[in-house]
Amino acid sequence: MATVDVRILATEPEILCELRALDKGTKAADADLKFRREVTDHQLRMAIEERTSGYRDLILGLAFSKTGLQGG
Amino acid sequence: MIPLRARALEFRGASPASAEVIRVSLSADRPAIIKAQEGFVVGTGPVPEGFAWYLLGSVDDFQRLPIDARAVIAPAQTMFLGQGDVIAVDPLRKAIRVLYRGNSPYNHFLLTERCNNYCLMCSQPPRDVDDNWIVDEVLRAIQLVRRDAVEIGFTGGEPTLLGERFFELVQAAASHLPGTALHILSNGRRFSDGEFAAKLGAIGHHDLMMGIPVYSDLAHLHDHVVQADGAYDETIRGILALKASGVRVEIRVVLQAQTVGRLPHLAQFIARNLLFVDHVALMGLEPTGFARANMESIWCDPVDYAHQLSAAVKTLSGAGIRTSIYNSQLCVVPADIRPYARRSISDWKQTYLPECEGCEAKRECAGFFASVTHGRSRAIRPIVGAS
Amino acid sequence: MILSLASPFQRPVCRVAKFREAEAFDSSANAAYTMLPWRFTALDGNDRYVATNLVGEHLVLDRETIGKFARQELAPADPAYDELKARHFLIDDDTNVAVDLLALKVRTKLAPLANFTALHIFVVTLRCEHSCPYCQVSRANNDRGEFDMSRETALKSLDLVFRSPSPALKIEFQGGESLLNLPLIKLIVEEAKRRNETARRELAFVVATNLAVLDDEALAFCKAENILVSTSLDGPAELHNANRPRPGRDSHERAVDGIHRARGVLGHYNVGALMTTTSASLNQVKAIIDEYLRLDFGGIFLRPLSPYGFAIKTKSYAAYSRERWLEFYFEGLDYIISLNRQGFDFIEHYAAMVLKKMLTPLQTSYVDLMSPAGIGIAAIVYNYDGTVYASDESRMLAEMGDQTFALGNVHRDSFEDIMLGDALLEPLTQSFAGSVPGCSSCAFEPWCGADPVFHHATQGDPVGKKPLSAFCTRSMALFRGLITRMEADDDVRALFEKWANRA
Repeated sequence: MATVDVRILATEPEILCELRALDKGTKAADADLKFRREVTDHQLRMAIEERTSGYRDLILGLAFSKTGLQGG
Repeated sequence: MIPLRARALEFRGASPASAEVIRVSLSADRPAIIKAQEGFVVGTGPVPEGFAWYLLGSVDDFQRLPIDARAVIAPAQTMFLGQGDVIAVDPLRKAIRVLYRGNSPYNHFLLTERCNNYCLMCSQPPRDVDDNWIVDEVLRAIQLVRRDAVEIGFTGGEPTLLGERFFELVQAAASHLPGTALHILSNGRRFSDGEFAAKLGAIGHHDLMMGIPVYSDLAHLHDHVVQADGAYDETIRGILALKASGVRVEIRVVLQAQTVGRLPHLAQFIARNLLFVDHVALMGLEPTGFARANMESIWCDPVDYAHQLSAAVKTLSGAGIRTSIYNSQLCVVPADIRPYARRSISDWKQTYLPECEGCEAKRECAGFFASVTHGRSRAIRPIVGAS
Repeated sequence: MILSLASPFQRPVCRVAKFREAEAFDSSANAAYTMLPWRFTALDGNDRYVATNLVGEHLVLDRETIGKFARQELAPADPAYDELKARHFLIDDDTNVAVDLLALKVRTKLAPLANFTALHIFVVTLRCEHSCPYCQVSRANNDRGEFDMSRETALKSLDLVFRSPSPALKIEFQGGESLLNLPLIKLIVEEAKRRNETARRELAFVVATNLAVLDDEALAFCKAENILVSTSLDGPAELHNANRPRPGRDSHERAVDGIHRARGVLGHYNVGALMTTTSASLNQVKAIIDEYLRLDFGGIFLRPLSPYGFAIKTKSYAAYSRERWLEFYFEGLDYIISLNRQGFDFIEHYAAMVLKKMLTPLQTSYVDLMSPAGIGIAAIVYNYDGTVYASDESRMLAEMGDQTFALGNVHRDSFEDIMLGDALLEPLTQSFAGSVPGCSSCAFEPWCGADPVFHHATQGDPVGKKPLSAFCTRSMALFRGLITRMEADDDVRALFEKWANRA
């Protein structure tokens, strides 16, 4: 569920992110922590995808070139 | 315990030539042409002429033999040899070897003593010797095996180290024993070469099962058990290649200190990755050979791994994989998985303990290896009542 | 079984062999590990994450471990390392056979696609004597033959059925009330069996019926032809009758009576029941489950209500929120788990199908949970008028006037036009969950389905914006709910494993 709205203010060399709570129950500290986590997680996901894309292609290539064994 | 080999025997009338593989007859009444290929077990009755060999229980029987008969005195063997058994008579080594027994449901042929694994618990420690002559002997024996035999086995050593001759042996079993199942014990590594696997598949044996050990879901733990770096990946690739070539595969797991800890993980690994295998055998330790020497580091009392065994059996059988427990006594197998325990130790190797007195499950129980007096669970007790 | 004959050769004096310790074989620390494709998604607010590999094998890890692993900083001595390695998240100097095994598992998951289509639904009539407000297809008056499938349409449809490469073909008769057109069902069964003498498929038939008009003739026919019966049972009498009005207000009584009679003739396991969830169901999940228990069913399928047909027209879809359905679902699931704890074997089929994807290398054939989408591939619908739809939901959409997923007509179009036309291939390709933004980085993607018909119906676009999608919210909550329960309790894990293998 969305709890905050994010505005990105790109003013070189800085990028400012502005968080606005969507409901009154949201605490600033929580929202900040959550947002930072999301950003880190996203960066990790991108790094993983980049590092593993070679093996993804290799495995999918193998998968479509070999005979399947585990019939349903 | 039946002595299947004997050395330092006394031979008569035989030149020290190389070994002959012959069929055994207890019956005196055989066509002459057949007699010339068989060995006669001399009993109390009259001794007919014309057999290739005579097997004697006692030196006193010599005088009853035809003139110029070739004979060997093998008291222990004449006691149990039966009609149609196959033996190798080896005057050079002054030995006879019982290769096949007609009244035993399973007969295994050792194909080589060489092996590229060196398992901590090997019951048949490998030797790096040139034993190619064994193949010739087994090839000959296969032709003499009763054609109504239910199953024969090939074991080692590692049979696939024989290369082309391995296929020759499988082909012989396929051709000469068209109604007989063939079970081969192999570490599977050689089959990681897909062509080697395809060649086996191409023989098209009518009822072949490859028994291949997988000891862990983690490569280095498997490699440790078999004492060979890189064995795990080769074995797994071998299993994949065999199945891709249409060869049936049984996974064999020996239950010992190194394997029981991750047994549930291994079961999950098999269910997830190797769901297409045809059988999984979870096998109690046979404490002979290296197993005996390494007992201290490999022994785990079955009562101490009961929980892991139970979890593994449920995972495997739940996934629809045929699963068996071998060599385990029913009283140390948790009640809920007892139906998976097989009476796997054959009669002639099997025994029970005084503690087994009064046990109601004795008839279904594998019992113990008679030759071994150590490596027994502290929890052996009679099963009484429905418990 | 296997005895190792003592060596026929002289046994070597057992020289004390030099055995090496386990560490000597562990090369994992020799060089950095190589990550294989994997994804992670938060499980709950307690810093726990779900990580899945390329084929959906999962681990629950804490945030710190996730970060370390992703940054190539996880030490081989870390207990998580072995678990990640055994589940093919990484390869290292020790082993790389994971690559072969993953390829095989990918192939296994996708293999059923080559054998499309297994389920063929024949809408033999739209007529029905019930007037259920949630009915997802338009119904018509009982006596109007214009809503019956014709003989010609049936035969043309059978032509297509036998063009499917699937080795197993299941023909399901639906309505309306299918038994109101029993003569056509008889014709189709007879003709299909005749064709199968040469086609040699594994052929099965199912009649979906409300049982209210089940007479001895129909039962004898099902018995003679080995036809399974599938019926609707929404719960206890009051709920069922409120959901399913018919003249006499006796739908429940007739269904229960029909179940007993059908079991008596066809055998216990050859009669199945499906429930539909309505807003009236939401506060009585236990009573609904108890009704299934009372009638001696081995399980229940706690279904979400789909947003089609009269369900949308009458606003009954909007009448309760997705959160309320999830509460209903998990209350039911927990009740069923507690039944199993008491030693009572009872299965929740929705969970079982999801768990099959999570815990086994196999794929489920449940249309909603397939990616590429199951439409056309898992099931195909031949409507009474000869129109072919990609799924049951597609025809419901069409009854509302939206023909997007109409693939063609048996009288006009060839098998190739229908199965290889843009109407099917476009949404299939677009919705392949592996390549949809928002899905491609989701750890649950390997378990999830692409549901292009749902997203088209609710958002006007077969792909859908995931964060707004009720399908996504429901699925995410389902995956999290199942994992949380497994993680907390080994008995539940064992039960779930059992369900996964039975689905």
